[in-house]
Amino acid sequence: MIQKLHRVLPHILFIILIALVLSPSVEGTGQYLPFLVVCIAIEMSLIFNFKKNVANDIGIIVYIFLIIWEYFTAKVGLKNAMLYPAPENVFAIFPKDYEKILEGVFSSLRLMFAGFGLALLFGVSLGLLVGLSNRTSSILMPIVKVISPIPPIIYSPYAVALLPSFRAASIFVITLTIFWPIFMNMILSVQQIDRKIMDSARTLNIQRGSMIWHILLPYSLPGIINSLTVSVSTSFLVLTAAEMIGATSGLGWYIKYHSDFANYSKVVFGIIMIGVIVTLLNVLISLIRKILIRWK
Amino acid sequence: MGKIGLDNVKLNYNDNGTVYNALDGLTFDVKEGEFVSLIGSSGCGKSTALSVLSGLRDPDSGTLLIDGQPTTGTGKNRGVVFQHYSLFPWMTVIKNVEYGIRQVFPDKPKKERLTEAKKYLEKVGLADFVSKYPFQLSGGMQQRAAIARTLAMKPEILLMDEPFGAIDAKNRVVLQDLLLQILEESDEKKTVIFVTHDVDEAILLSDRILFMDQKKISKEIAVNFPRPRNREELIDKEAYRTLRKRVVNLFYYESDEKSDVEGGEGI
Ligand SMILES: Nc1ncnc2c1ncn2[C@@H]1O[C@H](COP(=O)(O)OP(=O)(O)O)[C@@H](O)[C@H]1O
Ligand SMILES: [Mg+2]
Repeated sequence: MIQKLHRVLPHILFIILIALVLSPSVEGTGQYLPFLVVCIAIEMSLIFNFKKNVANDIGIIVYIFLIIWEYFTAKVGLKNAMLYPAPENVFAIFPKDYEKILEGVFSSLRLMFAGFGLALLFGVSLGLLVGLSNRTSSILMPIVKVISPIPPIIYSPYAVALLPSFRAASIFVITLTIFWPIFMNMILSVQQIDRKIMDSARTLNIQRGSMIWHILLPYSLPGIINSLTVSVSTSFLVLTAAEMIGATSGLGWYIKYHSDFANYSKVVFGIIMIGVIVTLLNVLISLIRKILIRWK
Repeated sequence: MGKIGLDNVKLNYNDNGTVYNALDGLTFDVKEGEFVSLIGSSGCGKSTALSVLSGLRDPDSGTLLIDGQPTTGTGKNRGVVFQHYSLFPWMTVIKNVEYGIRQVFPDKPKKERLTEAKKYLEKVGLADFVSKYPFQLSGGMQQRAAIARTLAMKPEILLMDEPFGAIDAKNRVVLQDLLLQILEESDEKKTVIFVTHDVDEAILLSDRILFMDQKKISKEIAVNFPRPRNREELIDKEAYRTLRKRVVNLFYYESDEKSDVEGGEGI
C-alpha cells in the first residue's frame, strides 16, 4: 500500500504543480509556458526512468521544491520579489535571452575542451615519462607532492593578470585542474602495474612503443577516465569563477554581470544552466567510458 | 647437450632489505623435444625456477643455457603460460592471440595473423568465443586462449607454470588431454617444462619428472610409457600404478624404496 503510494506520489505532485502554475499569479509574474515545458520535461524523464526507485525519490524532492518555490513567489508574493524571482520569470529568460546564453555556454565549453585536451596530452605523456623512469620520478615526486594539492582556482586571479588574454588564463587554470589527477594517476598506474600483466607482456617480447600504446595506455585508461569524472565538475567551477573575475562572455560572466544589475531572474537561470552543463559533461564522460572500456 | 637447462643457479629475493634465498644451486638439463615436469611442494621455488628459464629474472649466479649458449632476458624461442592472467583484459580473445603472433611475425599481414589466430583458437575449442573479452570467459577457457596464444607464437620451448592449477578437476582432465593431443599433433616437437603439484598430471604428460626440494632438484624419475598416450589405457596398466606409487612416495614421503611399491595397490 505504502509502496504503491510511493510510486504514484511524484505524479500526484506533478499534477498539483501544474494546477498551481495554471492558477492566477500575483502581478509581475511572467509567461508561464517555458516553466511548464520544464515541468513536463521533468515528468517525461521520470516516466522514462520509472523502474528506478531512486528516480522516484528524486522526483518527489524536485517537485516538492518546485511547488514551494512556485507557491511562495508566484502565488503568495514575497516582500522582496526581486531577490526571489518566480520560476516563471527564471525560465522565461531562455526564450528572451537565448542567443547571449548559448554564446556564453559555447564560449565556456570551448575553453573547457581546450583545457581537457591539453591536460590529457600533458598528463598522459608526462605521466608515462615520469612513471617509466625511476630516477625522474624519485626527483620529481617530492616536488609534485607539494605543488599538486594547491587548488588551481587559487591561481586564477593571478593567471588572469599575468597571461596576455583571459582565454589563455582560463585555459591554463582548467588545464592545471585536470592535469594533476591525470598525471598522478598515470605515474601510479605505470609504476604499480599488475605484476602478472607485466610478466605476460615481457614474455611476449613486446617492443617499447607497443608496450606503451597497447599495454600501458589501455591498462591506465579506466583510471584516467575516473580522474576525468572527478575533475570535470571542479574544472567547470574553476572556469566559471575565473569568468566572474575577468571575462566578457561565458556563464560565469553572465551571472556576475546580471547580479551587478540586480537582475536575479537571470542570475538564477545562469546557475541552473551551470548545473545542466555539468550534468551533460558527466553524461558525456560516462558515455565515453562505456564506449572505450568494454572489457570490465 | 640439452635444449634448455640451468647450471648451478642461485637466486635471492630482496624484499625491502630482507634477503630470501629462493634457488640454491639449481641444476638440470632438458633435451630437445622432451616434456619434463617440475614437481614439488608449494614455496619450494618452482615458479622462481620458471621465471629464470623464461628470462623474467636473471640469476644472481649460475647460468641459463639454451642450445648450449648462456642466455639472459626473455626471448622469442620461449613461450610462457602462467596460472593466472596471461591474457590482456582489454583485448578480445582473438586480438590477444593476434597480438602475440604480431610480436613474432611483425611482417605478416594483419589478415593472415587473424586467420592464424582463429586457427589456433579453433584448435583449443574456442571457435565460438573469439570476440569475447577475457572477463567473459571461465578460467578454463582463459587458459585455453592463453595456450592458443603461446602456441601461435611457435616457440621452440614451452614453459608452463601450473597452467591447470586453478581449474576444477573435471575441466583439468579435459585440458590435460587437449594439451597432450596438441603437442602430439604439432609439426615441430616442442620442448616443454611444466610445473605442477599434481602427480597424475605429471605422469600422464611427461617423459621425465624432476622433484624439487630445498631450492634444488632432489630426484628424478623417467616416465617411459609410449606415446601417443591415452589416459584410460594408461591408468589400467599395472606399470602405471607401480610408477604412480613411486612418485607419490617420493613426493609426499621422500622415500624411494621400491620394495614398498611392489604389490602395493594403486591409490
Ligand atoms: N617477489 C618475491 N619476493 C620475495 N620472496 C618471494 C617472491 N616470490 C617468491 N618468493 C618466495 O620464494 C619462495 C619460492 O617461491 P615460488 O618460486 O613462487 O614457489 P612455488 O612456485 O614452488 O610455490 C617462496 O618462499 C616465496 O615466498
Ligand atoms: Mg608457483
